[in-house]
Amino acid sequence: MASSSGNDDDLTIPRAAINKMIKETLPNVRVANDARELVVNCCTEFIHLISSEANEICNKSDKKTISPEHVINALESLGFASYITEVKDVLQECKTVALKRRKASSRLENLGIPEEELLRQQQELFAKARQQQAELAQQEWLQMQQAAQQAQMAAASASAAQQAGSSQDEDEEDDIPTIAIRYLATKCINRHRARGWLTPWGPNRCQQVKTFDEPLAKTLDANDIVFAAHLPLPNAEMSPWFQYMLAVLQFDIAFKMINQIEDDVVITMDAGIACRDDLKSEWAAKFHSVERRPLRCTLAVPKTYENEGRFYHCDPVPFLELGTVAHKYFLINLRLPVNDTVNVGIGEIKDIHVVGIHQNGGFTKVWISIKTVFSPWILGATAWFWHRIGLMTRPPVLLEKGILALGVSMTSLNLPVEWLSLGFEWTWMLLLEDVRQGLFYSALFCFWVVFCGEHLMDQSRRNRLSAYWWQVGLVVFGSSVLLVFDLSERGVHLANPFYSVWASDIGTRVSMTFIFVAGISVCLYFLSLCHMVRRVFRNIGGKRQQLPAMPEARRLHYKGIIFRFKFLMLVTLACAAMTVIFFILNQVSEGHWHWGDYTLQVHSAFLTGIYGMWNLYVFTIIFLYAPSHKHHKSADGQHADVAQMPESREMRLTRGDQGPTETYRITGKRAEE
Amino acid sequence: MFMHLEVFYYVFILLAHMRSCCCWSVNNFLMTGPKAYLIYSSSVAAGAQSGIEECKYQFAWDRWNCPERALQLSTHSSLRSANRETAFVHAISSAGVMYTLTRNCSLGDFDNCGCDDSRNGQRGGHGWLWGGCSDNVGFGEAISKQFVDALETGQDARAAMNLHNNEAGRKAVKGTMQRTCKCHGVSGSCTTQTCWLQLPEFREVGNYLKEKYHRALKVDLLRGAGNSAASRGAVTETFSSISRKELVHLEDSPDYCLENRTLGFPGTEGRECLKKGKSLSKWEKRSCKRLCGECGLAVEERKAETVSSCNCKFHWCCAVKCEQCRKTVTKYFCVKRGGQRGRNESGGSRRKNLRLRKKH
Repeated sequence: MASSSGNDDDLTIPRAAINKMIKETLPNVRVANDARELVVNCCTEFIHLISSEANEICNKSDKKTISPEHVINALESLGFASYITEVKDVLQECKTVALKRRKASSRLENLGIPEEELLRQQQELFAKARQQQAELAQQEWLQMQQAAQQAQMAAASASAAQQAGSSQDEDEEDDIPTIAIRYLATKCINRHRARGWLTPWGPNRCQQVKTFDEPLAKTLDANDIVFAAHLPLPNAEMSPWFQYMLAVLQFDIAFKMINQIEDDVVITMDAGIACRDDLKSEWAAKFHSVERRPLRCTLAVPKTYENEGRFYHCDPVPFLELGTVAHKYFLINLRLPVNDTVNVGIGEIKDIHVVGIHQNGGFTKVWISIKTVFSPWILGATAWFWHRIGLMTRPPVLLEKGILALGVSMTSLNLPVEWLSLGFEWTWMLLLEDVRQGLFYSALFCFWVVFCGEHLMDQSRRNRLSAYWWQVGLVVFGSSVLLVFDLSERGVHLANPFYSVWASDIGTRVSMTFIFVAGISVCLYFLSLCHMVRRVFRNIGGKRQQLPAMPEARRLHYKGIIFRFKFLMLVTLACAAMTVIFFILNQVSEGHWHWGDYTLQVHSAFLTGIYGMWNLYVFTIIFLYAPSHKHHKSADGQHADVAQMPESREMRLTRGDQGPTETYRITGKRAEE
Repeated sequence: MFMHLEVFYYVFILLAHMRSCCCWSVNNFLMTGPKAYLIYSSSVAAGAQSGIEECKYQFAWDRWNCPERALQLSTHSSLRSANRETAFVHAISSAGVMYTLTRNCSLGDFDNCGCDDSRNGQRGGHGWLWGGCSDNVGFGEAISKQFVDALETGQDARAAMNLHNNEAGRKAVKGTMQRTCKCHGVSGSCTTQTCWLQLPEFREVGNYLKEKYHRALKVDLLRGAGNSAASRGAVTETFSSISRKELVHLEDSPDYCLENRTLGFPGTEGRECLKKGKSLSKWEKRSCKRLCGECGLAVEERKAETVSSCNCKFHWCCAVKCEQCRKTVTKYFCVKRGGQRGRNESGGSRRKNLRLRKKH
């Protein structure tokens, strides 16, 4: 039965179907094969006839598709009018079957919901959408609040399940001390330069344009446009735990041949920040200022017509620095005033992103807790150290004073005054923190110099700070330069948080000079420190060779001094190396290290770890260098014990708890001799 | 065009809604019910459109130029192709949706974005205070997943391919983000610095995906693979072994030179192409050869006079003072050679097959 399909003349109705039909209509009659063939041919012919006629009717009525009506008309014109009613019934049936099939293929039926129900749901959804759109302006705010609360509860219960379900392929930056959040500023319209604050969303949202390509925007003047950003995003609020808040601006500037960014262009911004503590009250203005900032942008593609619309890559522009976050909601309003001289050649600004940076509340808690824990320890150790010194008959030597200064500066750094910042709106907290850190660094640097000097074991007297005038002077000079620089930036922020030293040319030059000078003095300091350490080692080498020839007591003295120096040297170097390594890694590794599949979050741990390490360092120094009370009881004479109790002194010396006095005694005596 | 998008977005809503009520995949967004979806739907529609616009830009000088039919992402269209171009359309659409959602999230359009951190399990309150919020990108990605992936209800190789390409699109957005840092330690030093990722312009996502399009991987799964559970397992296995950044396709692309109504592309006849120009890329310079020459069409030169703005004085934001200049530009179009071949080849053949015999 090869009904070859290659030639369309042979195209016929399937024979099996015809056989079946014959069987159905005439079950008890046998039909010969050639009769069947004839029936098939007749059918085919009939179909051809009807289709040709329908095609003709279709063509006459200027249609391209043969529709059921055309077929019915063809039946009529060919004299088969009696079939028409039946045909119409079949057509109806066909339609329903086809509809069902289409539905079935769309898998709606597999969902187990009846079609009517789905339709109803769809209608409902559309109706809801329309309704919602109408209500949106007034009610969205309240709905959001409610939804948030519901969702918060729902989310809490869902989180566990979701955690299991969602594949956490990307590493989230979870454990970092600070966080940056991007806010896209809304373009509000403020036609008559009305005073007042414009909110991007919420109940009293401003009239806004989505893009400057909108027809509405074409009627606007640049001075009518206010970029508004609400910090934080909906459903969150700021907290004093955030400690400080910085804002950085990023501009989306499209390249246009006729409107390019000029070289060394300065952008002028009329910026204001307001705050409030609940969602309904009026905004209270906090600061307002007109600021100028240099705009540094580059275009990665050639400047041709084809590349119009591409964005420049612009450096982030420092914008705002608040020393305290004492309010729940902040609002930034920003205008770019334009006239013939201001804001010309800044390109086509499409959008402004505000990046808000603040410390994480969790990190602040950990940080303050650490300080609260450390501060009594260091304070206690310092007090105990001074008490021990006071018990001695001789006045304290320079190294002891240096250790005391180290303890005091560490205590002041540890003092958890941040607790107060949670209750009071003190904007100078950042400045205070900087000053405290500076004090500690200075004390530490001075201590190192004095410590090295005391171990030089050359016969000069060094029991006064003026002996180290060169290094100490460098430290004091460097830190005071940095203090002045800090005051000129953070100090001014107390009055105007929008201020930036880097905004003006002179400011940039002056601050660069400050940093340069401070950097040079720090470098010189370290060079001279290295030089001193080298001399100490050389002297140690010299003394080592002399050691066998020395009398027993003196040999032990020198051994003790050498051991103590090497020990502290090692500890200091280890601490410094750890700090530097962690710091570099922190800068390079983008906050987490990958060890195979294992991602380590280090930022916060790094900061607290380093802080704890230096605390431990100071604590160890204070503890080990405190004079022994045994020594005080047993010996108050100058030379009495030197020869008498060698074995007990050796023990003490290796612990290093009596060194300074011994050193002074020996070097002093040698000098006298 | 407009109607089309309308339908597109209602399909989105309906499908997403059906998901939310039927499969109890526990999820924050779904828990808030279908109402939440309406907040996102306009952004989703806008995102999908920006994806298609980018597609049109990227393929302006290719034989396949991202025609309207490409919009149909859903499984409903009976003639689903699974070629390179389909892969690109899926990727760019899901990227567009993610991009727009992320952007609108940072505008403050949605009440729960960013801080809907699944790890903290809470919004706004404690989680935000303790560890800040996850980035808006995570939010855009999650919602894009909800909306775009919901269209793939099937479990066959085509559905797996589409899901893979959707994911590749979202990865492209993440991959093109730029990292920026700000130092704010003591005296402004870098002892403390904070970094963040900045959304690139969407063109960069498009460029990135175009690269991926040229290097798309072909997966040979269609042959012999039935719809049994075993082959389904094989499908997932195959796709999971390919990097999620790469585009995949199952079929080879058809010849886009010729018009094909059933697959919905118009052929290259009548298309404009580029020939000369200082700043054209190699790809663009060869566009006439590619579109016309290699498709058996001739290039016709037409001169047209255009009025454009020149000598403009620009003031941000919206004021431009320009003069109007007239200039003649030369444009190139693909036309039939001699004017008889095309019709016989494409349109005529189909009619011949359906030719009806009239007998009387």
